[in-house]
Amino acid sequence: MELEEFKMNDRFSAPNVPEKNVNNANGLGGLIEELKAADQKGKRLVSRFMIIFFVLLGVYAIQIATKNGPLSIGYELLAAGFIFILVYFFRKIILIRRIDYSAPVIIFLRKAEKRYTFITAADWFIIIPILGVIGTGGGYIVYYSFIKYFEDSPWPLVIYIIFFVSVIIFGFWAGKKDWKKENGVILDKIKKSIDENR
Amino acid sequence: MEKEVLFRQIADENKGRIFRICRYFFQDREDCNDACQEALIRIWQNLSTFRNQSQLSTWIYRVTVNTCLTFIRKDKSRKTLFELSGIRSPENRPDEPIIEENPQEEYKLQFFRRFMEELSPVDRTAVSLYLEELSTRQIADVTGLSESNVRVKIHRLKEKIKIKWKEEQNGTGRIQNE
Repeated sequence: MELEEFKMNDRFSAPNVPEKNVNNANGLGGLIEELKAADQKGKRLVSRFMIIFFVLLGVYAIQIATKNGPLSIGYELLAAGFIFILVYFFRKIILIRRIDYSAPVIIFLRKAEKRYTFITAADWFIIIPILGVIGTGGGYIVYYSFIKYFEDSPWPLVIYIIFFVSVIIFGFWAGKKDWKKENGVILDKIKKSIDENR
Repeated sequence: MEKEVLFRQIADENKGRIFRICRYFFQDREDCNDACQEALIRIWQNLSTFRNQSQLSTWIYRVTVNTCLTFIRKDKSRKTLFELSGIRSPENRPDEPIIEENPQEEYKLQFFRRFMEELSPVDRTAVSLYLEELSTRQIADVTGLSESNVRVKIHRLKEKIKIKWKEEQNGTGRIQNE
């Protein structure tokens, strides 16, 4: 048995395509129309996201400008944190959409593994400072909002920290579960391919 | 408009090539058809990355193989371009020799499919491209492996299929003479 025996074996080759079907509405022509529509939809989605993002940013900036004191610092930090997190997730989604399928197989698999991983080591370097900014902003707001009721008691801040950390842990758990459901199978397939070729 | 013309040209001229590669990766006809459709979609989405730095065929092989490696079938009920266009998979071709008429060839083919299924994705890619009669250089370009690595891989795979075939014969005794 030689591998050559299966070279261009007609059982593996594509059958002839009836010429009349190539350009019909349901064939290639139909696919092209679908692809063009998907391209347009993608562009519209990005434009809508950008418009909503900048409108919200403007509204929030006006709100912050009218506030003074420590509370205003808290709101500013919170707003900055949310903006960073939005930009981060937007970038992550765009990156997955823009996977370069024309890269050599080995390079493609390595890049795809990084993109399909829920949070990579490099991501943590971005996420942790962002969470720090949001947490500090929230801390400012909670502390200076409740200081008049609790005098100098640290309890509001302690309760806030417990709440904040719990939200992060829950968010991480729920996000990972959702990500795994969406991308887990493909990531396992990619990892297997890379491992088998080490 | 230029994108559409280029895509139509690529799709028309390379359907057979794309189908064969998908066929090496998927034994299931519907999976194969879906993977072909997915490959065409990826070709459309990645057209801007083709800059004449590599041969068009190499570029198409890369997109197709990468699609097959990450392909997960999502919608079993969706009709694919290949079905809609009237393309039939090799098993369903009316001019196909009936299995009973050529049992030895059918047996070899089944053995070959099992052999392919057992290979790692990169090895399967190397075999598929080798059987497509790509040169070592072209296989290296598609896979990202070095030419010497490809040569070694192909040599080992040739040896492997011989050994597996011998084991198969000893195990079943269905085909006595090669």
